Amino acid sequence: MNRTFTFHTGILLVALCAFAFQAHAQAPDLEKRLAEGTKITEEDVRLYYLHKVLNVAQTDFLAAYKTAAVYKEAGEKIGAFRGYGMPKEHLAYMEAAASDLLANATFRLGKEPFDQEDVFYDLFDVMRCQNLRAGAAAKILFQAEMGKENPAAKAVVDAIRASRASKK
Amino acid sequence: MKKYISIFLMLLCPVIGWTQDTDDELPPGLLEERPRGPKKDRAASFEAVNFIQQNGNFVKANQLGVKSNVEFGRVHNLELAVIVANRFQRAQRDLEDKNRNQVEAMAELILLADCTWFPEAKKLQPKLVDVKQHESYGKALELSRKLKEIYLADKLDE
Repeated sequence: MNRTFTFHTGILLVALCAFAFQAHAQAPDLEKRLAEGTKITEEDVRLYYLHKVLNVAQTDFLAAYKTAAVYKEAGEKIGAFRGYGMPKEHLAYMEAAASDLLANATFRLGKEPFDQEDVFYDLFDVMRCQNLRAGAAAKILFQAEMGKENPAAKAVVDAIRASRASKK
Repeated sequence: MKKYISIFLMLLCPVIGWTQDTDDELPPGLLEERPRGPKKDRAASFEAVNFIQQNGNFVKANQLGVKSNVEFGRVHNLELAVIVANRFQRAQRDLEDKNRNQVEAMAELILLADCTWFPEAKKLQPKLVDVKQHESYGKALELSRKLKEIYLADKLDE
């Protein structure tokens, strides 16, 4: 009786520890590993997706756009999720958040008390996500305003160019 | 013997409960007179969601949402929750972004912190304390009032 009880309790404890460990498993630094060319497993890609792409997309679509590119590169490199494809749930999240920011920037565009340069910074952030539908729409809007020689749009473009030149 | 008595009681109890649970025995009109919560305006809550999705107008959405008496959790889906979380998080990050107009970033945070229909508004309270100590708080408060007027005057058909 005692032996059976100890055996079952032991199994239960191991299962609980494994579950807790899994829940707190850290996402591997895939970017570093890709640069170094070290081995990446499908489990690494899965953990990275959960922690650095899906979770991040829920609060910061811009940051998630960057990590999603790393996830995609790593996944394609090792041929992960072959057969059923790589998860794409994050795309819907990013699309929703980017569309909302674009909608708000469009609403503020040309309205006096709103800082017009801030509007174009928001548009530029959405535009950076080129693979999203909202990104393409933001680009069209930004280019149209540049065509109209909107001073705020021009100021933002100049500021971004200057900051890029200073980094080089 | 005890076993059979237990089984008998297990079977008997639901039968007794079922026979007792009849509305016919209640005085007429009692069910209609029971106290109800404030009336919920579902149409207003859906309109609030439209203001978020079409214009990113959280201020108007908040006004409609509070008026509707419907909890935000009852109308939101996963994508809407992501939109709200992204927007409230961005409002905090804009305060630290040197490219942004700081007065407007503070005004935006003041406005969003006041949008209590969204549970995320509570998360802005610590930042709001910092904003209140800022030297330009007065200007930000004034600007937030102007922006609020514009947001509240918004109509979706425009």
